[in-house]
Amino acid sequence: MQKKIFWTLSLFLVLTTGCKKILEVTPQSSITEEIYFKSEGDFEPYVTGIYTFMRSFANNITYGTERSEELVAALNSRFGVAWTHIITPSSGSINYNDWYKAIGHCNLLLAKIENFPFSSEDIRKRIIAETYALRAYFYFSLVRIIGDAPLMLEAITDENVPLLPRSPAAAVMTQINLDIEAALDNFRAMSNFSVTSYPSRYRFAYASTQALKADARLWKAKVLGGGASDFNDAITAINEVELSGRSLNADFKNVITMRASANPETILAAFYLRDETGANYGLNALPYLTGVQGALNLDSLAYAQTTINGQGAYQVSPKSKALFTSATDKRIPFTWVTERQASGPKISWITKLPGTKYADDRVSDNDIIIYRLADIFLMKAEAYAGLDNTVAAIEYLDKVRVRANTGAYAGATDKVSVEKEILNERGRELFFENKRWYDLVRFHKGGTIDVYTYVPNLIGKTTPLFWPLNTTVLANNKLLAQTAGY
Amino acid sequence: MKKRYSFLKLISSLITAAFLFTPFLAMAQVRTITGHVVDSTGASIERVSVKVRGTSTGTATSADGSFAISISSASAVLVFSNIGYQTQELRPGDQNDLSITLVHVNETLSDVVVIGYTSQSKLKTTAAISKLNPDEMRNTSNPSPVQALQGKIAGVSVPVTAGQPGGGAVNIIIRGGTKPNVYGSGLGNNGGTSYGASDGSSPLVVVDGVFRALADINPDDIESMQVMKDAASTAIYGARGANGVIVVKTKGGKYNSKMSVTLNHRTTWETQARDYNYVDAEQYLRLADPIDKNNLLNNGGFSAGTRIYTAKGQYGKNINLTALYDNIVAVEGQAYVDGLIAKGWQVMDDPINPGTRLLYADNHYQDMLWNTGVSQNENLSIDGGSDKANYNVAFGYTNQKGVFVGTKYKRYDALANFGFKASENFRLDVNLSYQNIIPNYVDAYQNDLVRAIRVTPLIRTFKDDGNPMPGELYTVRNRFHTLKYDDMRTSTERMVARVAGDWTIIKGLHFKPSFSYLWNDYRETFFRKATPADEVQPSTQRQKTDYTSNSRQLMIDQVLQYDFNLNTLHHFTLLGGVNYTRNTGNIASLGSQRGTNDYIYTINEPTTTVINGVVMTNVTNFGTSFSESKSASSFGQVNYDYDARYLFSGTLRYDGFSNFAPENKYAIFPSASAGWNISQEHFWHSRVVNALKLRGSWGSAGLSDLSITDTYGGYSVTTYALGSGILRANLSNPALKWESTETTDLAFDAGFFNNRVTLTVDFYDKLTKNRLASKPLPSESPFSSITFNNGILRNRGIEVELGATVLKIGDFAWRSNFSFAYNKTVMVDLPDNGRAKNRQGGDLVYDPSSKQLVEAGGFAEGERPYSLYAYKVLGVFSTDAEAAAWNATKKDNLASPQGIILGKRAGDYIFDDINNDGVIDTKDQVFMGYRTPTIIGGMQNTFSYKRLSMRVTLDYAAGHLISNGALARSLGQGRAFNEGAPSEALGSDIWQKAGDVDKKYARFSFADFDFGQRNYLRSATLGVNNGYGSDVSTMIEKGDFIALREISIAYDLPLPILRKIHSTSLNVFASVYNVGYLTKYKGLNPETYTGFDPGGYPRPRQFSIGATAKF
Repeated sequence: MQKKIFWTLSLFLVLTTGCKKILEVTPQSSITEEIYFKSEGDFEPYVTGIYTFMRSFANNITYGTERSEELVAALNSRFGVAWTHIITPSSGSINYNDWYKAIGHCNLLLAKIENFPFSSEDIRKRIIAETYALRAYFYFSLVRIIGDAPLMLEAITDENVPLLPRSPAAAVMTQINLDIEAALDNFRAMSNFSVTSYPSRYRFAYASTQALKADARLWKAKVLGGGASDFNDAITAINEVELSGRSLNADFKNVITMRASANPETILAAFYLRDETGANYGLNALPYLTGVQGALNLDSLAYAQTTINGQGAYQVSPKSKALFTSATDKRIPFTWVTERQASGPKISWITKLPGTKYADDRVSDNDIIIYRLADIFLMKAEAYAGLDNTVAAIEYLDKVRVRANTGAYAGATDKVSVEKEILNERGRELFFENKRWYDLVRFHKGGTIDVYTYVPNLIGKTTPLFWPLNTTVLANNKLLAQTAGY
Repeated sequence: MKKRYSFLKLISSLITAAFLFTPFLAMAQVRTITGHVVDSTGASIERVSVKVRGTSTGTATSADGSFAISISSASAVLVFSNIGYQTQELRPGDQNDLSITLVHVNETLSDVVVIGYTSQSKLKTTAAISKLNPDEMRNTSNPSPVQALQGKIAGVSVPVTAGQPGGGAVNIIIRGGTKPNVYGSGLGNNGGTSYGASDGSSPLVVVDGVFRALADINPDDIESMQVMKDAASTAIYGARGANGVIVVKTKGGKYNSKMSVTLNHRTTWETQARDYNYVDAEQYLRLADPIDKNNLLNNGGFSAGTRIYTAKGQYGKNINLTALYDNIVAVEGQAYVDGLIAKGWQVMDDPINPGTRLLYADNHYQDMLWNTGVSQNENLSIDGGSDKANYNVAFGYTNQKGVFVGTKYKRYDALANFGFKASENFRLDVNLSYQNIIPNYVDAYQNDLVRAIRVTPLIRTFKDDGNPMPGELYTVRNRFHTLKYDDMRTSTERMVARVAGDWTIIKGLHFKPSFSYLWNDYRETFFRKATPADEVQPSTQRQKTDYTSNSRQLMIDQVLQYDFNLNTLHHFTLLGGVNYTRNTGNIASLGSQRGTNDYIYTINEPTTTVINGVVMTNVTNFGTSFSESKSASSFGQVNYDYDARYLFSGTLRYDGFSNFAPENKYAIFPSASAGWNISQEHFWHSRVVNALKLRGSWGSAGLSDLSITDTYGGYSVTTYALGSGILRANLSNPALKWESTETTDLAFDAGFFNNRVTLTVDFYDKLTKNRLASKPLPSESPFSSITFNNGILRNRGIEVELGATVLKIGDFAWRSNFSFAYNKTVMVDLPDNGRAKNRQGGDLVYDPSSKQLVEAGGFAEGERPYSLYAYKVLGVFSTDAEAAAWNATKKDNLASPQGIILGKRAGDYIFDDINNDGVIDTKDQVFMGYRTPTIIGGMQNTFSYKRLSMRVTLDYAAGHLISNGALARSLGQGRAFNEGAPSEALGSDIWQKAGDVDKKYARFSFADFDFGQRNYLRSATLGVNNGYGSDVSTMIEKGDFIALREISIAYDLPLPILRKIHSTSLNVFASVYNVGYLTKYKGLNPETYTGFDPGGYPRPRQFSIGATAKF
């Protein structure tokens, strides 16, 4: 009997005391913090991953397009309140957490790579350069949407998140410029550095970082009152871009539909391909078959079979169409096609992003161009015009006009007229490329137009140029002030 | 006494003997009476004591319920008694063959209940444990025992919100659960679930000692089911007990019983219980608003609009049935049109363009979608036993067909329970169970049930060639197209094996080891055949998927138990043990598209295809994963009672779980409880209150539902420009601790009039501390939230269970059980975040009383979660002039962009500008109430008369609001195309023409969301905020309901008939399940707890008949 009890209790004890070890589990199908960033091979996939944020911001037309004059409704409605300009803290305000997610990834990568030795210093420098360029791109996107923005530069790893107030837009711009310079320095410091080197047209390289720099300097010059030195910096940056071997497509058709990887004009694009990404914002502009049934020119419309692939929500606005004053403008058929019904002309469908026709249906999966040479030429024209060098400005304006077959600029050569023409040219050349609202803000601040009379939906309103923060953002950080004007 | 009995026995023996020897004395002869004892469902009851009143003559029924007893007097009274049943007396008179039905007594204080790893008589327990009356599991119309639980136990909420065959509950919610979102929120679109998200808060289910799911267990196999609600009973389950525990025991054989074969068959007819009455095609065509007509009807490809056909055959495969009569005659010829008219097509004058004739047809889609589903349920069991072994082997087959065409639930199950007395002191129990579940449910609830079933009557469902049309889009797809081209097969095979021993080491000392292993293999395969090239194509063609998820659970328990008494009055049970559970899983997911033919069901495509010169991948899904978690625990339990009067119990459990960081892996869960059986005291002499027990308990149980990445952080894989990327997916929190739920329970159990009435009342207070939930972070963080020990949630309430034999007159008896529970959930504490009440989430609304903006919604200290806000409707503009006056001073920022430009017109809602700033926006949201019920309960009544019995069950819930999303979305149609209109669109409550006043509903309009005023489809940030709900006050109603859940009648056939078929008992029954609701709610489903009722698949009404025969 005693023996029985003894054996039972022994068995019991053995089972009881084994507890500590038996609870150890090694995850087989998930990556945890304990194992990541322990090898130099972990950094390259990380920076690749961050580009998915660049893609999603490039695809977000709420902030870059909807407030401009470019679009009016077609068959469906997919506009948010931005289009109506009825933006209030309770309607159409922004939660910018996605931007800080993207910035947070950059901050983490920069913190982890800081003291991490690499077998190839070039790879390390390139990763650092790209990460700085990405962070600059994200802050530049944010500063154009909300103006003053908190500057989060620290890598957050737990629930202790420092509460930051909004830094003035000028301070954010200073940080953007520091990041751009850091990126450029790292690119230049690579042993195989070359201005013409574009390892991928879908990622930041030296010249595309210069393009970002030019863009940022133009914003600083006009919106933040930077003035001549910023225009000059923009021109210097563009000179570098011009040295990088890009050229305009002879045929405007190829500008969008030729994939960025092979496109001579593309400097930086966000990668889109149906199987990887699905459709981009062009989805809302493509008509669907039942919506265009009976059109006499159905064959020339880029339509989708179903509303899954074409929402038929936007068409080109009369105001944007009116910019195309020259009938010989080769860009028109690649900008819109007017649907003709037996009863007469109907909707002017946007053809800028026609997508790809697959066996089952058309899918709007063209690459989204972030910078292309024609855009850069027009930026340079704008910088020269800002410096009152309208001769040089017209020279660059004409580079774009010649390709469009609209002939050399023959209008007045005073600064205001040339600047107005540059804005109109951007409206024609870059229609539906998700740039227009920022262009309007720049030219509004630069005194070329009054955006409050220029954009039809803004007439009679006083909606500020920058977006308000939503209640979630404000509630979670007491140091934040609402955007001025709300 | 003993002496006297012996004396009496002697006398009676003598008298008996005397009678035997004097057969001529016919008036006082001894005769043998035989009979058969069954319960109210016709199941034989064994070991029922049968005694002659006032004598010592007695016997017990055998396994088949039969007995034989000698009586010596025609006036003798037989007394039938058995634990768990009401004692019954019967004077046989001159009958020699009796049939007796015993009525279950619910909650008798002599029941035995399971407490953790041992069992106890209910008299001695100090815990809040409710036992389900086994009758509730008999002859159920549903294949799952989950439905049978509904409304039966106080404080247990079983929200079965949809009627898909085999569908279960979101959670089984005991005392409000331990999480805020236990009833689910949003709208689901995969896995057949009707809700989008929910917090897992279901109790631990222990079936024959194995942790597993309740849903797919055959109710016919269940012998007993009990629910443990307080910490005194759940703390012993430690880590898993916080949400309560349900213990299920399946039927086993009995030692020393004859073999018995039981056959059961049930047939159930399911019919659609509630649905909207949609207007027909002609009425629909007349609804078109002339103002919207050009934009929506002609241009938008709307089903009421027309296009010009130019070639033969176009119309016969076009999506819309509406066409211009003259056009079709011109293109297709008069004969074709005449043929259509012969098939039911109609012609009418176009209400918008008078003088033009429309050709159209009504698709009668609703009539085709909803049918009577006929279900079969068969059960066979064989049980019995010798003195060394017993057995029960059971087989079940269920084939339930739903009311929605093509939905069904099929299950094959088998159960084998064996008991062996291996030696004098060692008993072995072996349990094997197998289930194969093959459901055919609708996977995408939102698209396929909520949206696709409500298309207009003018959508073509079949082409001229007889093949189904796909519908406008695959997201609102014609059901018959799905049934023709898609082949989805899902199957779950589950097998459980358990071996348990009970070694009696010395008297009272038991060593009880057990091992169990659970296999669960889920497989889902799908093949979509090629669809005709001239119709809308799916995004992936000839898609095939093959998804397998295999999981395994190993459980080892070792328990040592010692029962002993000290000088007969002190009773002790000491118990200690360990448990080790390991769960592993692996998932393989494969998918391909662009198959080459329609014959091969499995994946055998090349991995790539070249399209337009680009190599495209045919692989759509491709991945495998492993998962593993482990828990290890040790526990101890002490039960002590003094003479069954003073009761004490304590448990301690030390629990470890692999997904916490090393320093936080283990936690201790204690409990203590005490009880006082006042009625056992010598001084207690009440005849009214024959039993009274006071009891109280306190304890803590845990929850560990966190993933390893919550603790250690996770990185996930992404793709950019065809390259692999990896990004941090969440913040780690190695400081995470166990969530624990502390429950205090105070209660009394009372029996009145010799237990004719029983009453149990429990008060509880449950604090869930260190809630494992996500905590919002400032928006400047890399992630919007982090998994955190996020504050304290309280559930506090009262539960009442009342049982009574209401009437007993002769052979007639009415037995009733009533349950009531009130629960209030409050967020008690949240981490400091600098906001008032440390609110998480929420928005700003204007508070008219304090005349300022205040924070509301989300979670906040002192507030009940899941409030519901909406925009308040003041009325409907009667005329355009009234609307214009409003437009002059106010603006509705929540209308569509085009609608804002247009402004209000007659028939639009007048929304209340709460803060009077001239703008309708989110600041104007007003508080309406809450989404989840506070009061739940039910009532079960059994009426019996001789061989006939009837059961009526009710259940109820109150305190929840429902936004009638289905009605809102069909009155204010979202898109420029296509949703059927309900009869309300032409009813008397809706604005239809200028001058209509005091109407409840704003005008019916097409594309209300896209182009209109968003009268119906506007989202409030603090409302349900879902496109299938409506945050407009007129669409929100109270959901309080009483459901007449079941009426059933059962009859036991008398013995003479049974003898002819060599049966020992035969019971037949008929029932109606989900009979109807008593509710003011006008929509489809008052059992909606997500705050909105999107429509979809409401619970069907079920008519069942069946029989159980024993041999």
